[in-house]
Amino acid sequence: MNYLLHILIMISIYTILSISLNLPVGYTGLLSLAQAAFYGIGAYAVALFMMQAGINFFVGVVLAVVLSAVLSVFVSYPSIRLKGDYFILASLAFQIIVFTILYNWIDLTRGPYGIPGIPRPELFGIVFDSLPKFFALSGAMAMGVLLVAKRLYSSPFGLVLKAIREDELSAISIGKNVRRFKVLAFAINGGLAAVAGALYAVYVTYIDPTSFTLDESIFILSIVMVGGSGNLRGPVIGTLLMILLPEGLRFLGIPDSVAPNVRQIIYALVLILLMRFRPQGLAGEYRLD
Amino acid sequence: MHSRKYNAKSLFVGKVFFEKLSIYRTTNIFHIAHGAVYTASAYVFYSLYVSKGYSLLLSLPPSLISGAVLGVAMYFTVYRPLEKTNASAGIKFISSLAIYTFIVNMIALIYGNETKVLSEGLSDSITFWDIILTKIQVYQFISFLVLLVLSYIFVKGAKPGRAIRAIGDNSRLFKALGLNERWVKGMVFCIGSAIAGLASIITGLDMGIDPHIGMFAILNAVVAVIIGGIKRLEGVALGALLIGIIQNLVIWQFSARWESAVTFLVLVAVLLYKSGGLLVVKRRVEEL
Amino acid sequence: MTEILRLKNISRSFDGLKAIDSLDMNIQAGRISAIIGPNGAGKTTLFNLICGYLYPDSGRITYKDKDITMLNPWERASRGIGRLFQDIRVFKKLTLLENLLVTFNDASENPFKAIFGRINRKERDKIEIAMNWIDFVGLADRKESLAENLSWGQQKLLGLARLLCTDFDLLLLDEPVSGVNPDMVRVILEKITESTELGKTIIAVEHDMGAVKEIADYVYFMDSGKIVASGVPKDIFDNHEIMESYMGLDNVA
Repeated sequence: MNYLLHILIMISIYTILSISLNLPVGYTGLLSLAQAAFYGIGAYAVALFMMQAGINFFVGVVLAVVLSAVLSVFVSYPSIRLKGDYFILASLAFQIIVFTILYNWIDLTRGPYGIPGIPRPELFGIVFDSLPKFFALSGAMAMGVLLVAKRLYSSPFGLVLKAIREDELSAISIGKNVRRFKVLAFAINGGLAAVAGALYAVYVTYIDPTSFTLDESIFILSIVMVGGSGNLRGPVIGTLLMILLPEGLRFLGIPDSVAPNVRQIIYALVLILLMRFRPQGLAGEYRLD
Repeated sequence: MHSRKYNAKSLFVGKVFFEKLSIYRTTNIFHIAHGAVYTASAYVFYSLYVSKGYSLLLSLPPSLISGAVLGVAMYFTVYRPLEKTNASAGIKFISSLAIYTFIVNMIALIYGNETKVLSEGLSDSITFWDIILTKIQVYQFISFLVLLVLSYIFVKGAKPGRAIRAIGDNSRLFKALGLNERWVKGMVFCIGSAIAGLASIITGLDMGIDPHIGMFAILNAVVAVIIGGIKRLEGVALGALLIGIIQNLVIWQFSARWESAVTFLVLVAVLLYKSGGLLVVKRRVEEL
Repeated sequence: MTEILRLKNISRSFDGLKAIDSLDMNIQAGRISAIIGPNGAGKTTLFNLICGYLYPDSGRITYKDKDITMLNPWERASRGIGRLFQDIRVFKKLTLLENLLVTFNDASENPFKAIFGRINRKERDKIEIAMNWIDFVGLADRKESLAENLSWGQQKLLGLARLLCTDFDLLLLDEPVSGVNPDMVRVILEKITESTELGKTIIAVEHDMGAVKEIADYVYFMDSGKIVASGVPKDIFDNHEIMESYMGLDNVA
């Protein structure tokens, strides 16, 4: 039972990550390898707010979201004008820079030693310290993010994004400041990814930079590519598949020492096959153009 | 008086960038999977040279050949079908990442994740000014220069070289001229992968190998290519040297820890500077 | 009559070839101006310069008495310059109605409103206005269709409706009736004329001489990047020299 709850909690966290990445990828067509950076910023921000400043988790999340969103604007605004391939590179650069900072700014982040002992979230006297309680929290937050995403997609804002992905030139010609919309999509992406980071931090209660590497960014991007982007179903299905698949491996009796490698091999194969035969992903609406 | 050990990174970067450049120019793919070829060649070499104990001369060619074969195989099994289905650059990029992940993890499965040493014992070193270089690093530099010269002649002069530039500039025109696109691209992957193998083996002899050296090398090569400019061979060579110098400066002045951050900051700076004034929209409407 | 657009001494070269050569043009508000000329005369380049997709090598563009030479495309669009492309470019996978709803450029296109706001009267007003224009072009029965499922002529009408809905004052139409069925041509020309009655200014590039003769108030004949002749249609079409050079260079309907 505990095992099941753990899986469900991880699914909620990754759902938030993939839904948020869906916005820039599936709606403005910009691939980003920086997701783990915002994930990490959220985690570290919340951990530090709670432990250094005694701020309540829920307030900390809001602060972390704002921080991450602002940072995202700061980074994406100049980079938006870069052509596709170069934009990916810029996002990769940001990812590595953030990781290096997390790893080396020992005074702030304790570098490779990480931050242990992160307290559990607390609200009106309820402490979310058991698995079922925590799942209730993470599930609720994931649902919240899904709701936010749904409202965004069906709003005038979402319609403009769809138009931009359909034909950017045409969107400009009717007066849309496309750059602003893309930056906004990234800001939301950054903010939501920070929510996932916050949840992660208080779930595992110990964070270190190795959870927020380039590999992690690649993994999250793969979820979106596999499940498909541009709608709500895609990222959710992608998350379910990519998280449950390796769990299925356990039952095949693959030894723990090689399990990570085997997992990666399977992910890679799935990706290669999908990109070749079904580039819009399993349930996606948008095909990278 | 300071003595600093000249870290030989720029040298292998210099070599790796060459085929990176050629591959990018012909195929317009950021061939991240190239890093996998880099890694694979080194491990084949390890098997022959260390595990089986064959001599250097005997181990080298098969390693390079397997690298070349792997590269060509990658092209024909993955990239070419994607080209046929008119896949976008983004999809090709993702596929490249996927191939890389696949191969590198296979290697890790077979050989394990730890660092392996290729050459035992300390190598002889040469000192001049206040720089210490090992013999291996000297070989690196020499082979870099040799390759530079060879590539220059090849690309500027020989017919295959011009063919490569032609494909990069205008694929359709190339096909219309009746030249064999498949063959040229295949050759590019073949030679490029072999060179990558050479680079990785030489560097591996100096610094040891582990499954992640490919990503590291390829990222550095990408940075060098961007900084130097895609179109010009001389520029990329300069870029590689520049990167090496910057990295060593950082290691010397600050500490090795910040080296990658600085490298990528430079990359971002260059990207933004180069794109300044080149908003996607400002091109002719018909080009879009 | 006021002048709405003025081009002064505009030049633009590509790789040393002068596409537009010291061109002057004054467009009067509320008129339908047509630009005709052989292929390669630079008509589309001129449109690109006016809309901001290209910048001139020299010269000035003034719109409603303001210098817009250095503004980028969306800035010009937001001041009221609209463009219908040769290949139309409606949003294919959006419905007709959505194609229009997306033109409003107002405060509702904001993520915060999306997350925290509620569907209110403003949304319904927008739909009403959008339907207004859909009716104007006669496509009310197709409002839920995907734009890509419309015929070419219908897409052109949709394109026009979009421009009207966005409330542009100056509409640049790039070959508004090319490739369209004759009966649709009639409808499109009608709607263009009606738009002028609503106060819009139209500049149209066209190869269809019949269409030009029918609706244009003023005609510019372009060749090799220059305006070789301009005047009311009668003066241009009765001018044998011009017609001969044009007919000689291009196939005229």
